[in-house]
Amino acid sequence: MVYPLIYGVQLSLTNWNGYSPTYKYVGLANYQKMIHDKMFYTALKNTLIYGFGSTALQTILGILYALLLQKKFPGQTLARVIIYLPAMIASLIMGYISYFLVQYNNGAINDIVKLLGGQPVDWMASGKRAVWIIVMINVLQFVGKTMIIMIAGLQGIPDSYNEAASIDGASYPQRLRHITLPLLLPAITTSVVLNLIGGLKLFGIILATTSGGPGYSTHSLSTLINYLYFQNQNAGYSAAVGMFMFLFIMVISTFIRRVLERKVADLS
Amino acid sequence: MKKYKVVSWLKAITAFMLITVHIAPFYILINMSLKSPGERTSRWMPPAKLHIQNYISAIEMGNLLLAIRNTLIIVAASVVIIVMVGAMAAYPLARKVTKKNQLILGFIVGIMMVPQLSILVPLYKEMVSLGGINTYWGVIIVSATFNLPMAIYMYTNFIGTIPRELDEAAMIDGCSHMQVFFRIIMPSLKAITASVVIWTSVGIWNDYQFQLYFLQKPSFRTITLAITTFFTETKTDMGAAAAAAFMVVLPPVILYIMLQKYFVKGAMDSAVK
Amino acid sequence: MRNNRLYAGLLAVGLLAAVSLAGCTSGTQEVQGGKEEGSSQEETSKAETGTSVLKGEIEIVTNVSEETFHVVNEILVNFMKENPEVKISYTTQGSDYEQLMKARMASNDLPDMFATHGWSVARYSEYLRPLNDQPWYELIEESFLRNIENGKGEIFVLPFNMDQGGIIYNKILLQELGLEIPKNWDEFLAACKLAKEKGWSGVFIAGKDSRQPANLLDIAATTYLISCEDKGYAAQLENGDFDWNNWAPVSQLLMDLKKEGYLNIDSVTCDPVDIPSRMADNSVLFLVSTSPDLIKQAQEINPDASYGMAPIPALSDDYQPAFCGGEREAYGIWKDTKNEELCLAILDYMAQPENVRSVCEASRKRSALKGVNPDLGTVAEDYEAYADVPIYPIFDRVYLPSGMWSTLKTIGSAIIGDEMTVEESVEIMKMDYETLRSQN
Repeated sequence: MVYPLIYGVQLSLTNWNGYSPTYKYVGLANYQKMIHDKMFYTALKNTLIYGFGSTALQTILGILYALLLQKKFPGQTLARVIIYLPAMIASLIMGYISYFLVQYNNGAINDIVKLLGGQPVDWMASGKRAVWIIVMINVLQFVGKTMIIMIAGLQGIPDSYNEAASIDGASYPQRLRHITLPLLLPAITTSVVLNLIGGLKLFGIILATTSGGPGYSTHSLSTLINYLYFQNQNAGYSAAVGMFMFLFIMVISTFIRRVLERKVADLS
Repeated sequence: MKKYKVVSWLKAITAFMLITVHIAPFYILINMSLKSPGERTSRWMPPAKLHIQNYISAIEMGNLLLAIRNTLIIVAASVVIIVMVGAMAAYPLARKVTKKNQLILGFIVGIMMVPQLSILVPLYKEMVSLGGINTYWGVIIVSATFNLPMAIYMYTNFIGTIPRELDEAAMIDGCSHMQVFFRIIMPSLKAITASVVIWTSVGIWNDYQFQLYFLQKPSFRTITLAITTFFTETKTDMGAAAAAAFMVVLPPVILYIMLQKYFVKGAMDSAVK
Repeated sequence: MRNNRLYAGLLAVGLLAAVSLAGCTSGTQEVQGGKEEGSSQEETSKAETGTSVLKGEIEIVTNVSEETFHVVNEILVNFMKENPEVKISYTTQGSDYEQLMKARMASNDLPDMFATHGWSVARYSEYLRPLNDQPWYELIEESFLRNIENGKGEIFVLPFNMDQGGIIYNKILLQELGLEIPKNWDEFLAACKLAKEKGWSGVFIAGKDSRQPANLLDIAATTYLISCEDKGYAAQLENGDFDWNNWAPVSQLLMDLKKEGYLNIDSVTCDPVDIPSRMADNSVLFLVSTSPDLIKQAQEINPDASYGMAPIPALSDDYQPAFCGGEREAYGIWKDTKNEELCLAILDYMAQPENVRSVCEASRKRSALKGVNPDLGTVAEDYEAYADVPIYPIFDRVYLPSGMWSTLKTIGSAIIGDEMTVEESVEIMKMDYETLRSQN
């Protein structure tokens, strides 16, 4: 794994177009370009939204789902299975499915809107709106994953704790806050870090739903790197962005991890 | 006492609503797989006529059965490696909390953050010189290595929740480290192992980038590649692609249902006693 | 404890070592996908009988699917029947072809022969063996030659057929409007206006794929800048003293189409998957495209949908409409292949008229070689009606430096996405032109 990274750094200092046998070293020109590139900043902003937005929603929903489905009730197994199901669909296909949901003409969502008497909307035409729609699709697809991590975590909390607390008169919300959530922290940490990294690296869904458009308003750093390398024939610049993204994700996730792990350590 | 309280029924209703939302993508997928290409009815409406031809095309043109076999081999081998190596590597990392181990863990997590694309070309170059292109082991090693960090990370965190006293109790009884690992730790990790298995197998099952570059021969074609054969430069056979996608999503689902019960079983009953 | 850590550590070190070692030696060895599986499928088949002079194992790759692929596969199967000591592995990678090829070029691990889908000069020529010395060279249509020649007159591929780009028009709707096929852009826009009043889409663009608006710019540029030969823009572009303000009308065309509402409402988000079904709806008047195949696809969905192909409207009444065209299915030989003689023999075989004909009929495109008379179905009438219309090379492949196709994509999708003005697009074209020119 190390060698490819070094290669990546080396590449970011060239102006290679991705396939020619020759290229020139251009020093830090690619990085300079990056600092001034509007497309880069949009992708950066989007990546943060994809990462943190998805993670926040997934964590909250994941915990709620897990709590809901923890104890037996009619349909529990079915629910667990179906909620996780979307995660099994390949990103490419999921992207096309979501395209069919949001497309203007004959899109599933617009059909419902028309049914309710409204006017169909071209959902993805607005870059800002499209970004959040992508976040929601991402959450829909992967909240199941968070859920099963949480369920695994909940399994680790002995029932005796909760029983003792309720005998002592603690209400459900109180028990939640003081017993369940803290003991769930390792699970939360794991899933937050994984979700965050997954969200920051978001790629397949974006590509299939909007290809980064309209214009470039829904690009994430991942799709931007792909675009630069393959479509724009600018492998050097692509590698530069790639380096940045790697460091960027590293910094963010390390930071979050430290924060959460400190909390876990405080508990034990 | 009633078997199911009112709260349970409320839960059931909420669950039902959630199910509806989450199953929508599948419903649309199945719908599309049964419609003929020209049909332009609403995505929600079932097809007027069941166009089974899509499934036939999917199997024939995409050579789906072969693809499934290939993918199964790759996924199975990778997952075994990931679980074994991952858990074993996580054990010392979780138990012995030293600066060095923290660094190693950080580095491993760091690998997770490398976007696949950035290392694709150099990785491809190396595989070419190692002779790993168009082989099973090439893809397996790459897939396993790429997913290993996540497994290690998850295992490390969860092993941390198993009280050390268990280890110490067993060691006092005369167990070696390896025995502690296999007799005490692994059984307690059933739930999280199930998660890891599910997550990595789905990931590799659906993986696109690595398989695209490393398996170019049709005899090695995996399912994701088989599906892309329906998206050509000039025409897209959405019906067949949907049919293929649906057939292909079934094995992971079955796997999930089978592993599901591990989430339910208690984690620590045996150990404490 | 030590056990496990050692294990993990060893594994990590082992991987790293293998990886770095390989890194140092990469490029010195080449492994052609050696393991042959004896599976017989639709895509490749091998036949073995008797003996012959030619022998060897080679790999041929392409990006086409279905009909064209099957036809070429047949040709290769027949070749193998006649030369039983030869094994050809012919595969297609569909829409990922370009990415895959780029990775392979980067690792210098190319197939023995491969399809160049229009980019033999602009992208792949550094890796191909020049083929001017081949017997079939004489058979290439002269007017087509300039599409596959580089600056030194070298060609690198055997071309089967040619792309032809113009406007696709809806015969029925045009008749309803009582109009003739527009001969210049003013007439074109006027037709669009009438279409809009009737609630139809003047021009259909599936803008989710940025190649769509780029195509429009590319094709329109033919008559705005090239076919008006007296303005001498072509020479200016090749010399580097083109005044980029002359590009503005092209961007402006796209801008006008969007602003006046002549495009389909979801021009920005629609995916090309939907093009045939929207055409079949009979609510689209024009498309600006190089894919006459769409006509057939639309008809398959709705037999009442009747479209035809026409040349690109001219700049004004002073000029004539024209087509743009270029290389499509064409195969070249990797210059470092170990089986050169065999590859040349295969090309020779492919160049036989019956073989070229079957490829043209399957792809419904005109032949690039002389003496081949394919039966091209409904589009044939259109081709015939316009047999004398000049065909200019596709704009970006010849007149723009390599890499500017992506500039066209960027400004195309930005213009229809209302994110760029015409002036800005001119600036970007100029900037990229200069940067890319200096690179090559």
